[in-house]
Amino acid sequence: MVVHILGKAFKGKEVIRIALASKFYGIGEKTATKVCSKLGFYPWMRMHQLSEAQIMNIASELSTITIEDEARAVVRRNIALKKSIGTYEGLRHVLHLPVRGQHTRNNARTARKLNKLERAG
Amino acid sequence: MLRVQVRNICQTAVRNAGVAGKGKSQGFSKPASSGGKAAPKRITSTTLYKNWPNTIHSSKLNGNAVQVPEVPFFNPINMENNMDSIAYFNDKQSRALRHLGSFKKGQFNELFVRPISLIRKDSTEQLWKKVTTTDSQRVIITGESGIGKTSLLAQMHACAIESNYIVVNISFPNLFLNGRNDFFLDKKLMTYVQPMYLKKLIRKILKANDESLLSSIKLSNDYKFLKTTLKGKDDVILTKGKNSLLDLLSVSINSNLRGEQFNGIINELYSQKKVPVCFSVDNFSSMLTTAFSEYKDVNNKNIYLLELQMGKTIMDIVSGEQKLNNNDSFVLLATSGVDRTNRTLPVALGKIPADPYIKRDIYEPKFVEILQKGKVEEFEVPKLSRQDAKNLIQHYINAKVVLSRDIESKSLDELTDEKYFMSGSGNPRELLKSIVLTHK
Amino acid sequence: MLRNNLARCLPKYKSSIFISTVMIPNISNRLISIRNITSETHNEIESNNSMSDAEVDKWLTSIQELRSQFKQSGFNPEIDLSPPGKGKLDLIKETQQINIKPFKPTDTQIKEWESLKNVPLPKREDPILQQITNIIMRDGKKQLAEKIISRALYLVFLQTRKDPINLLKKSLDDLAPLMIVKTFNTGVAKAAVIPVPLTLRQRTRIAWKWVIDASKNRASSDFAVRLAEEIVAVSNGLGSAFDKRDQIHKTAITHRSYIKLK
Repeated sequence: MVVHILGKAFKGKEVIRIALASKFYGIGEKTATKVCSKLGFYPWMRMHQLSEAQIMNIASELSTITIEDEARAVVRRNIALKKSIGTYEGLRHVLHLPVRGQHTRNNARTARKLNKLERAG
Repeated sequence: MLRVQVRNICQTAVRNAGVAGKGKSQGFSKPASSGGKAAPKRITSTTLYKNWPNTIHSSKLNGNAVQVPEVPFFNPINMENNMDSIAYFNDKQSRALRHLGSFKKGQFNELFVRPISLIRKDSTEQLWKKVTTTDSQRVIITGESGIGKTSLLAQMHACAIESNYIVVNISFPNLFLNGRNDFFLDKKLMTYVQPMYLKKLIRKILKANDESLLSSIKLSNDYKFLKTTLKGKDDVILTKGKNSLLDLLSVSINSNLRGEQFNGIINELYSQKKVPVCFSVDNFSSMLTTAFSEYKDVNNKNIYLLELQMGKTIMDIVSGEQKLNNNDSFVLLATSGVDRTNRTLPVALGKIPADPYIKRDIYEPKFVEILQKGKVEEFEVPKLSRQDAKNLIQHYINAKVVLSRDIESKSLDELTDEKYFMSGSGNPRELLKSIVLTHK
Repeated sequence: MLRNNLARCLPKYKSSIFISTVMIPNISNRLISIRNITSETHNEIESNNSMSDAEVDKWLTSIQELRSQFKQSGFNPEIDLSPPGKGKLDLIKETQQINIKPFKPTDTQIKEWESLKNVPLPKREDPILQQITNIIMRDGKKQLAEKIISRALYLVFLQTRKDPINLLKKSLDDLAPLMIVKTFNTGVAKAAVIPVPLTLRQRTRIAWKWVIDASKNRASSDFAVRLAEEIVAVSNGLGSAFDKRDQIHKTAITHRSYIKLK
């Protein structure tokens, strides 16, 4: 049994709290717990136990939170701001290099992959 | 022909090129396993796939245990014959105890054909006398881990069953505290109700107790559950004086009214004077040490124990808010060795002074108040005497669970001396562990 | 009050008083006086077991005096307890001298020793169980290894209702190969492949390794349960390990002509 929330598919056996945190960018364990308790779900409720109305409730609750593309846009905006005001951190982002003082002789693979002005994730 | 050959060469060249491009993986990356994912392990009916404690508890391993002749049945009405000896629970008792959840895993019941119990003067008889003949109606059973608190509680259940009590047992309070059962806020009762848990509990009460006993209690109130049967068609109407407690227990209604049903059951049980009630809570220390359950309210705050219907009901019975109308009724609480300990219980029993500045996590003043209001008395389970240990070991030898190297090299007295010392001077679980679970 | 207590207490501690009078010769007058009193009281205790008021008074006054002295200069046992004429006392030396007591066994003790002289001390642990425990031990966590073995054997017992240790030993003995072929470099062109007999420890080790390997294919997530299942299977003569043993035996037999008998 598959449950769809905001275009994402969840297996029926997944615990709601944990599944939400793992599937949505911008939602962690804490936010997911908050959402669940606000809607009156018990901590270990699972996806297949949700009724249609409850799924709608989750969707509407999630729409009030900045998640997914919006959350990514916030990060990008912050990086762009740092670049535009000419900070060192902004410069490092542009150069695809680690921002927080790590060594760059070896490794630094994550930074080279991710640190861009138009950061993906 | 030539063209076909050329095509073949081309293909091999392309294939080789493709292989050459990919070098051997370097560094700490996992080497590509040859067979990919391992084949799933086959599970048949005889496969043991659980972990050890669950395996030994649930694989019905006592089926091939050795029958020990001449073990008497426990007779609670006339305890003298059983005194300081080992007894089985008879069929009636065992059935009730199984439904009540009095036998737990980790009690080594799988070693014997049926659960054994050592009936002792200084624990079984004394506690039974304490709750039935003296004024004390609320007793908490304490003692170190493995000393036999739960076993003593099971004996008390058996006594109560035989003496025509109605027994209600909460065997594991964590079930309604750890957030694994559903819950909702009942607007009418203003408490959080857990329908899934209640359904099981009500079934336990129904199955464990004698039907004629339950049906002898006539209801003192009317109950109306409108269009809430599982099919959603019929109304359930129970009238006062006509229907009995058995009817109230056995109606199947929707979960949204189960809180009311349970409240009704408890009220009926305690308002009647006809039949005495034995109410017991095992692992009570887990309630005392977790004042806030895992459940969260709409503001994402953990729900206080007394706001849960189960917690409130139990604590009302403990504090005496819920009056015990029958004079023979009693409440038994038992602590558990696996639970966290804090200062709530020692303060409530007057063992250490209260410190008002201490954290709520360590000392919960409300629970102390409740326990003191209910005049809860302590009953500490005594350790085994050497003679008790000897009796037990004799039974273990009869049941052929003792290692042959122990039997061959030592006499019973020597074995008793050794194992009694190993058991920390009379801890039953450690005694058995030193016999069957110490292979060095 | 104090007097009563003192009078009551002192006879109880007469032995300790006695020791103190003997072992610590006093220097200062007051200490000497105490010593005198104590020896007197000691004598009296022997006869009478109680003290007269005068003696108790003496005790009290001398204790008071001592207390006032110690209040001023502090209590220094090395100086205060040393005998007259000596500056300092070596307390360690003194106590050592006291503690030396020659031990003389009684006749019954000697008899008991004679009777038990040839009885070997029983082994505290079973050598084979020790060996297999040590094989499954990781990171020096012996208690954990023992727990696993105990739990496995307990489950074996529950399934078979036979003595698990004997069963384990027997099935390991059944499973273990008797000979193994070893390759020796002869220095000449061809290496010699010679069957060699195995000791008990070697056989146990090989068999136990096979049991552990086979237990990896069991379903449970608990090592103890997997081991137990495998031990039961081996005791019933099942499992691929028996094929391995037969294979080893076969090679040993084919190379039997290389066995050198002196």
